[in-house]
Formats: sequence, structure tokens, C-alpha cells
Amino acid sequence: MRKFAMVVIFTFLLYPLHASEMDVDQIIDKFANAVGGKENIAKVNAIVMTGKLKQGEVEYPVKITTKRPNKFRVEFSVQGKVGIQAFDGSTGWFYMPFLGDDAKPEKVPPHQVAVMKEQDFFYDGLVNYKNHGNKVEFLGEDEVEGTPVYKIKLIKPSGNEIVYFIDKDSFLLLKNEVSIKLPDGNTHKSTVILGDYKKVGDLMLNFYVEEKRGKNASVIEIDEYKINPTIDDKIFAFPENVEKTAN
Amino acid sequence: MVRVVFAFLLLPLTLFADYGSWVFGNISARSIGPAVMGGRVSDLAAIPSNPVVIYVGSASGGLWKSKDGGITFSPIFDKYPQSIGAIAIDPNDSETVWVGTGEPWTRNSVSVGKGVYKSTDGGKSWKFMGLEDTERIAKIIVHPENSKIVYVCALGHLWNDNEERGVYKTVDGGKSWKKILYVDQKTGCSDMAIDPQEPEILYVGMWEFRRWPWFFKSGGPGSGLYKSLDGGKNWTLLKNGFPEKPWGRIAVAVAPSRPSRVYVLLEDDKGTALYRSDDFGNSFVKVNEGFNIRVRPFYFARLIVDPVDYNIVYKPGISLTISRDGGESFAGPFGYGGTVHPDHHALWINPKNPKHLILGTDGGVYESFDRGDSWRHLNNLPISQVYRVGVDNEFPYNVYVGLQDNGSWRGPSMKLGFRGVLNKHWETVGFGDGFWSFAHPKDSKMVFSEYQGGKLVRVDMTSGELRSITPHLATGEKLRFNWNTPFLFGPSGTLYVGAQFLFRSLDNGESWEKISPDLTTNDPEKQKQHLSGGMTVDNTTAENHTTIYSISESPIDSNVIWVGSDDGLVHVTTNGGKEWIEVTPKSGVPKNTWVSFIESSNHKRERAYVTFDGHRTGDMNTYLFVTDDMGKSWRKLPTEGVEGYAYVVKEDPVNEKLLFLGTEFGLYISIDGGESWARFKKIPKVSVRHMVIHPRGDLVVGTHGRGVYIIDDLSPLRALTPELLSEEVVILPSRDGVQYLMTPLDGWGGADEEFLGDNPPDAAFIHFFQKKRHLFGSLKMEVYDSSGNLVISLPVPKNRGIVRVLFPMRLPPPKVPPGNSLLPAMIGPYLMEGEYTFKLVKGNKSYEGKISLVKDPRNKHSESDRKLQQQTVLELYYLLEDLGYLADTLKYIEDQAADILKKKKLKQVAKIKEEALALRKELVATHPAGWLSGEEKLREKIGELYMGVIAYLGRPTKTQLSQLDFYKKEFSKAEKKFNDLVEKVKAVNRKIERSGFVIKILSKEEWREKREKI
Repeated sequence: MRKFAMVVIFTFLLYPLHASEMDVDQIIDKFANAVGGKENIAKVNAIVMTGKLKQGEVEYPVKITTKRPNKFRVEFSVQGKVGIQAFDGSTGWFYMPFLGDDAKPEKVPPHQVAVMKEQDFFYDGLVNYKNHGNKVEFLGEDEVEGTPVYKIKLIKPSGNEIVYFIDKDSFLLLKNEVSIKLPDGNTHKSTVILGDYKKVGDLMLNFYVEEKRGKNASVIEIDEYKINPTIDDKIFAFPENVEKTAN
Repeated sequence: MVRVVFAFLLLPLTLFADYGSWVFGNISARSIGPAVMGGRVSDLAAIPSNPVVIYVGSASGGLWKSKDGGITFSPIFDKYPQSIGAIAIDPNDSETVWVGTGEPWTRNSVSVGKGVYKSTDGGKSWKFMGLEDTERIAKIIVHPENSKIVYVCALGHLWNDNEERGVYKTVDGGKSWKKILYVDQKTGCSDMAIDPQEPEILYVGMWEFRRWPWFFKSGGPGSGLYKSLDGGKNWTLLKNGFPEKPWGRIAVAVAPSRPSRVYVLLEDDKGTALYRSDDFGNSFVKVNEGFNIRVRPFYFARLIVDPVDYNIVYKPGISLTISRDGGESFAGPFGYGGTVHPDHHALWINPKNPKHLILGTDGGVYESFDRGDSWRHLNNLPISQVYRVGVDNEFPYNVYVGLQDNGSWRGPSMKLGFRGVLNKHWETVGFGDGFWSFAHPKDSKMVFSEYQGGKLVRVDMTSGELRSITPHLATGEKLRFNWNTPFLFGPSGTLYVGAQFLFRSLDNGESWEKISPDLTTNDPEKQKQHLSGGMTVDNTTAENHTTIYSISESPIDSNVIWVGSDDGLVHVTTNGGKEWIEVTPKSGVPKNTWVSFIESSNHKRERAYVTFDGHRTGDMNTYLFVTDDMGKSWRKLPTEGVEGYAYVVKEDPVNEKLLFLGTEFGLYISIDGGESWARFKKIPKVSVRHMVIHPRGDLVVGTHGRGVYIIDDLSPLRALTPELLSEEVVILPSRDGVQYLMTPLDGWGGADEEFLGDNPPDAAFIHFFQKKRHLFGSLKMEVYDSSGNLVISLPVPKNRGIVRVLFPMRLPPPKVPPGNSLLPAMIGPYLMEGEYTFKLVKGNKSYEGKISLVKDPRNKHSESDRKLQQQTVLELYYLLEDLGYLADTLKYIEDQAADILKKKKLKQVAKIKEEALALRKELVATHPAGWLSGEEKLREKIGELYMGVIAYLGRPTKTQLSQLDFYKKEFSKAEKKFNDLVEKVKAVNRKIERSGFVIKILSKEEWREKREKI
């Protein structure tokens, strides 16, 4: 029996679980478990994050509200005035009162809507990829800044792609690369690095987001998550007027 | 038993930390160009249906893609060998791109490739497709109707025999290859053409060629022109109309609009010429023997036929010549020395608009829309090929480079006030092919450079005047100078140059003293430069041999000088050149292997490092030796994990265990004195030919193909030890943070097409090491002043290895009052100079360290003036914040009053609202037209003064100081009115309380908190 145990151990060591042998669904399941489990993920309907966007010594307070399936509203404050960018599932808009109080909410052009539409609510597109008609592809192992990861490509019916870089140890997401085809044929690309995971209720959430677009990088440090607060859908819809934040 | 097994397995993991590239963490290397002069381009291609998509293959700087007609380019091949031979876009699917690595333009300085790669997503990702040992690939053709059929024209090894050369074919998209044409181990495929209408018809030029360190030979019995009618199964030698063999290099092209028309360029010692066939190659007639047809066939052997007119044929050469009569006569669109950099290798013609040309030269990429009458230079590709790099001691320091066919240049290591280092910041300091160039150590207005043949010049940068200072022997004895002649100041300030003898100058090159005998083998067999070339003599001094190549004076004892020769000898003198001892390592490296670099130790007089480079005889091994006894004995250092033959080694002047090694395939770093190595992957897999460690602690890396990279601040690397790598978290040192002078006048917008070399971040660095990536809980960096007050909390990258945290050296910008537009007060004041304590907070643990902030050395303002400036800025800073508190509170009062009034009309509340608004309008601009209204109130005025004072790090002007006094008084008045209003609010509150209403007043703390949240 002892002999047998030895053999088993050695065999196990000689043939470590190769990534290529690891089923992509297994990785996604482990990822879902790391985040809190599929059931708990399914229970999440809305999230509010508040924190600060940091660029050098400058800090901008931010608040991000998201709601299933792809509604969101981002508010950020500059010199005490609040700008808004939001999407209600079909219309995207912004309000930027920074150059004059005569600013009005404006609708974003279709190519920005194309990007907004692709917002995934809380990894739903990956965890329940089949429900969304998404496809996944295992791209093998790689590194994120020296840390070994599994790479999974998510391909949406629209043809847009997200590559997820999932930590081999914890199965948490370290990075993703989004590539969205715009109506005029150009591609929108962004890279996001995640960190500072903390438990919030049953979920494991990142409190650090670093976004890279070209040579520009910014960091959002999240101070607080609210899970499933009551959110009126009105805040996502294009308003005729926005209540002035100052003056 | 099982336990024992487990323990055994755990052992290696816990005892030995795995040194690797991860250790360098987020330490980056920034590319500063230069791009202004371009660099050699070996091939290029564009998508015929969408010619804004351009692929540029550089000779040794990788593959670049533009999706916007050349406005911007991105490197898309950084992980792979950077020498590009051929690019082919699949005519059936433009997202599929084939790349053959290894340049076919076989000059002395050429890099090497490692096979064929394929992308099916427009260059986003690449798959290695084999043919690894072909070294260089001249052409790839994808079958015009079947993407699975691909032909590769492989030139093969340049410096030795090999069998993986000739023509290869795949019929399964690259999964397997069949060699379909092969002559012998010395002969490779130099060009290949396909009949676009009958793609089973192929034409191939086979070329016998070879380089030695001292000689080049083009031509031999292996050269020949072949044709196949069946996709490469059978081949016929084409002879009809050609002179007798042997031949040299061959180029072949089929006219797309009339495939019976075939053009051939044939190198032949009886007369290189252009030949033409009108019967599918069955017979040829000689049509031209002009200069540009004959010139340097090994370097210029390509023919491109116009896609529409079979009589228009282009021949890239020293200039691009065009024939419009089937090759009978050629007219250059510009003469030699015209507006386009000479030495042309690649040409793409837009099939839909054949006047639209894209040209690849030794000076980068050019584009024409009028068939070459006028050209645009796409000078945004940082593909300059650095032979040598230098620095000076200016602040910020300048970088000097000598470039292949692009002279010598100097440019700033960073450019304050600009977005970065731009093309316009580079200036020429030498011409020809540039090699060593540098400034006088004490006077950077005196600059030295060289050009081919060991020609030395000294440049007066104030006047631009050049002085020739090449040494000469009174005996008239011929001096042998290497192509890349060593020419440098030793640490003592002595100027050296090496021919076969070592020369020194103590008067900046006005006179030279010969201080050595011939330190080479002086082998006459290796001194036949004048005969070099083979069928076509090509004596450019590129093959000069039996010369001194490396010189290193000891920084510890200037009488110790090491000299290495290109024919493998190492000599040392310990008495300033009176006596020389040959100390060549006796084993571990083949005899006569090129001594590519010698580095005298900064720490021990008897120590030196030597790299040998055998690639010119086909020996691709990495050779690195060290001696600790003045060359009496050598130890060959292990180079496991290092790829590529070695060009340069540097020993860090602070930590003797920290070594930098540059090879053909990138930069490698050791932290244990050369026992183990890891590649620094932030620099592409490019040929690293030279490096300098700046006295201020930057590593300046000269790459042959990607210009200059700078690794800022080596302090954290200097502190690494193998033992430290097993620690969880260790604080590492950083150099002092410099508070740069602000130079807002320098900057100007510019658009996207301009190459932008990166500045270092405008921040101090704080470093630490962590063994594992930080994943769970917070990781933050808090900075405290000397009184223990928290100054700023910084976000921290999460990577494993070294973590560089950027500390902006400024307070956050003031919380200014909200107005009708943004104030320019978007930056915070510099923190006071001095020492700060930082605390790395990782979950529930914290680690402390110190960081100092110092003034810019160019900041000549007295300490008292600097203090007054900082104090004045801070007063304005807090004045803006105090004003912010008033304005926000007034608005808060107005909003609450409005809410109450919606519910109940209360006169006294309405009055409060009116008064609050009226007072706020005195403080801040409120006109709805925003910044275009031109309205200025206290907020705008103080904001302007704040920016005025912050921008100048010396004493504020008397006017500014009196303005401050004035605004302070204005503010006091406003504050008094505000306090009066607050009293009124309190009084009103007492009255409305009974109706259940109240107007709250924010405390300063409440206000601050409110402003930091949404």
C-alpha cells in the first residue's frame, strides 16, 4: 500500500496537471468559486462602488453604479463639480459641466455606444458564457507581471473579445484585455489590472483597478462596495436636464 | 514514508529562490528614440485593398504595423528575433501575415533571424512555423489562390555552411515543410518570383556567398537561376542569354500585368547587368549596365515591376532608379544625395494607384504619391541602429549615439516641459556611419565622433565647426582601423583610439602618442580588405581586420589598460603602456574569437570582464570571462539562460555583483556576479550592442535596431541579493527625488504622427521587493513629513519582484471653490525639500523607509528665496481652500433654502438664499457661459496668482507678494460677510425650527469630507 502511495505521488509529480489538460470550463468554474460561487454571483443585481481615481498627486472622487444587464452610471468630481457618463442599455450619454454651467447632457455617438453595450455585469458574460451565446477559448498559460496565469478568451456574438488572465493559484482575475470593434471598423482597446481583493459578504471583490489605454494609465482605489442597493433605473436614462452640482 | 517524500519535494522550493525576469518587477525601460533619421528597413508590405495598413520589417528593430497610413506605428513582434527578412500578406486573407526573420542584406553588421512566423490576426499574435536554422530569409510568397501553399526563399547562414537553406514549400499552411530547391551548404535563395496568372510557375535566384570576419565573397559555382513549371517539383536552369558562370547574387521579378516578361538582375564579375525575357524566361537579353544596376549587388538586389505597366521597372540601390522602357534606360527620380536617404532595399507599389510608393531605406520609410518625384519621410519609427552610446554630465544629461549609415547624434535623456523627447531635440554630431560619440567629460560643448575607417572628428557645438583629429604615424605606416573603431575617454580623462596600435591623446586629439606595439595577430591573410567583395569589389573598410576593438582603462589605476582585438587577443599594461602582456584566455573560447568588449572592474584593480563574439565564424555561443589577477587566469562565467552572442558587459560601479550583459537577443542581468542571469524583458529581444551606466545611476542601453533605452535609477537593483529573493517584503533604496524646475514655455502640442520618446515619470521613486504578487487586502504607500503628518497616500502596483511606486513630490491640488469653469490650479505645490518617511501598508503589516526630496541642481535660487516661494504658494493654497469652504457652504445654504422654499414660502429663508447667492457671486465667477465669459472673481484671481507663484521656484515678485496681501484682505472681508450670514442663518434657524426646518452649516471638517466623496 505504501509502495502504491509512493507511485501515485511520483506519478502525480511527473505528470502535473497541464494547462492544456485543464478544461476551460474547469478554470471558469474555479474562477467563479474564487469570486464567491455561481449562486452568489447570480444573486447580485446591482453594485455601487465609491472611491478615488488617482493620477499623480491628483485625486478625483468617483462613484460607479452598475445594474443588470448592462446599465451603468459613472460620476466623478473635479474641483467640486460632478461629471456623469451613463448608459441605460440602449442610450449612452454624458454631462460635463467643466467649461461652463450652460453645459447640457449630451448623447454619445454610436461608436461609443458600441463600447458601452459591451460592459459585462459582474463577470456574467464569462461565468455564464453559454447563456449569453459567448464562446470561450483557452489560450494557454502566460504571466501577468511575472505571476503565472491562465489565459481565456471570451468571444461575444458581436465578435468582440475579452481576454481574461486568471491567477493559477487563487483563480482570481489579475488582468483583462478588452477589444471592441467599432462601427467604423476601428478597434477600442483597454487593459485593466485588478488587485487588493477583499471579502464583501459572500463575494471576493477587487478594491484596486488600474486601467491602461495606450500610454495613459490611471488607478481607481475603491473605498466601498454596496451590493444590491435599491437603484432607480431613472439614473441611467438620458435626462433632459441635470441638476447642477454647483452654482 | 509519504511524509518523507513530501518533505523532499518541498525542499528545493524553500531553500532556493528562483531568480528570473520576474525579479525586475515593474522597473521599466523607456525608449527615447532617436527616430528622426529612421534606420535600415529590409522589407515592407501594405494591404492592397486597404493601403493604410502598412507592415514595416526593420533590419534589426522588429516588425511594425501602422493602421493609419503611417501616422502611427506599433511594434508587433517584440518577443521574437528582431531582424526581419521578408514579409508576406496572404493575398487571400489580409489578416494572415507571414514573416521570415533574418535580414537578407548581408552587410558586415547584420543581425540574425530564427525562422518563420505566422499571424492569423493581423499581427496581434504569432506562431513559430519552423525553419529555425535558416538564419535569414529573402522572400516569402503565398500562393495567390491557396493560402495553404507558401514558398520560403531561405538564404541560410552568412558566416558558415549549413543545410537549411534554399527554397521550402508548405502545402498545409506551415505545419510541414519540404525543401524543394537546394544547391549546397554555401548557396541560398536570394530571390524568388511567382507567375501571378500561372502560380505553378516559379523563378528562383540561388546565390553562393560567405562572410568571414575579414572578408566577404559574393558569387561562386552555386549561383544560378532556376525555373519550375510545377510548383517546385522539377527545376530547369535558365541560361539562355546569360554569360558563362560563375555568377553572383541574383534578383528576379515577373511583370504582374504580363507574366511572360521576366526581369533578372545578375551579378557577374564580367559585368553585372539587368536582363529581360519576353518568353517566360526561356531566353534573356541584356538591357542595362548602368551604375545603379551594377552597384553593390550584395546589398541592393531587388527588382519591382509596376503592377499595371510591364515596362516600368524599379531598381532600389544607392538611389531608387526607374525605367519606363523595359529596363533599357533608367532615370532616377532624384539623384544620389537627394532628399531621400540613400541605400534602398524595399519598395511597395500600390496596385490600385501605381504612383503611390512606399520605400524602405537605410534611413527608414518614405512614401510618395507621384512615383517618386516627392517623398514624405515617416520619421516616427525608433529603429535606429546604435553601434555605440555615450552620455555627458549635463542636467538632465544628454545621450550620444553612433548609428549605422546615419551618422552620430546627441539628444536629451529627458525633456522637461515637453511630453517627451521629440525628433526636434536630436542634433547631429557626426556623419557617415557613426560609431563612438561622446562629450568631453568636463565640457559638453566639445563633442567627439567618428565615421567609417577610423576617421575621428571633434565638434565645437557652439559654432558647429569640425576638426579632423585622426591619428597618423610619422613613419607613414598604414594604420588599420576597425569599422567600429574604439575611441573613448578613459576614467582618468585620457582620450584613446585603437588601430593595430593603441594611441592616447592628452590634448583632445590635437596630437596622439602611440603607446603600444601591434596588439593584433597582424595576420596578412586577414588584411585583404581591398580585395573584399567577391565578384564585385566592395571596399568600404567594413572588413578591416586585425585591429584593436576594445579598450578599457581601469577606474582604479589609470596605468592599467586592457586592449582586445578583433582577431582574438587580449593584452594588458600595468604601467600606462610601457609594457604589454598578452593575457588571452587559453581555453573556453576558440582561438581568434573577436574580443567584443572589455570592462575593467570598478571595484578591484586586477579584475576585468571580457566578452567574446564568434558569430562572424558561425559560432553563436555566449562567451563571458572574468579575471581577478590581471589576466593571469580567467574564469568562464556560466551563461545559462542567456541567448545570443555577447557584445557588451558592464559591472555596476556600486554593487560589484550586479552585472549587465548585452547580446544579440537582448539585455541580461545578474545579481550574483555572473553566476546566474535573467533577461530584462522590458527591452525587446533586440541586439544590445553597447551600454553606459550614468554616474547618476541610470543604465543607458544602445540597441542596434531600437535606438536607446534608459532604465532609470538602478538603486533597487543594486540592493538585490540572492538571499533577499526569499524574503516576503523588503524595502529597497531609491535615489533622491528631484524637484525639477518647471519649464512650461518649452512644450508645444504636436500631433500623433510625431515620435515621442518617454520622459521619466515626474515623480520620486519608492521601491520595495515582494516575493509574491499582492492579492488579498489593501496595499498602500503612505508618506509622512518630518513632523509625522500624513502628506499623501499613494496607490501601489501589485506585481511581484521589485515594485516601483511613484511619489509625485507634491501635495494634492487645492480644493478650490467650484466655479463656472475649471481653474488651472490643477497641480499641487511641491513638498518641502528634505527627508520623508514612507510606510508601506500591506494588510495588517507595515514597513517603513525614508525618501529624500532635493532641488533641481539648476535651481540657483537661495534657500531663503525657495522657502519664501513655498510659503507663498502654501498661503495661496490654503486661501483657495478657505475660499472653497466658503463657496461650497454658501451653495449648501442656497440648496437647503431652495428645498425649504419648495415646501413653504418663508420670507426670511428666501432672503438668506438671496444673500448667500449674492455673496457667492462676489467670490466665484458664475456666468453660465463659463470660461468664455471672461468673468473673474476672487477665485479666479487667487487661482491665477497661485499658478504664477507655483511656476517659479525662486522668490515671488514684489507684485505677487503685494497681490497676496491684497487678496488676503479681500478674503477677510468676504469671510466677515460669510460669518455675518452664518449668524443670520442661525437666527433664522431658531425661527423656522418650529416648522421642522433647519439650514445646516458645514464645519470645515464636514466640508473636507464632502469634497472627497461623491
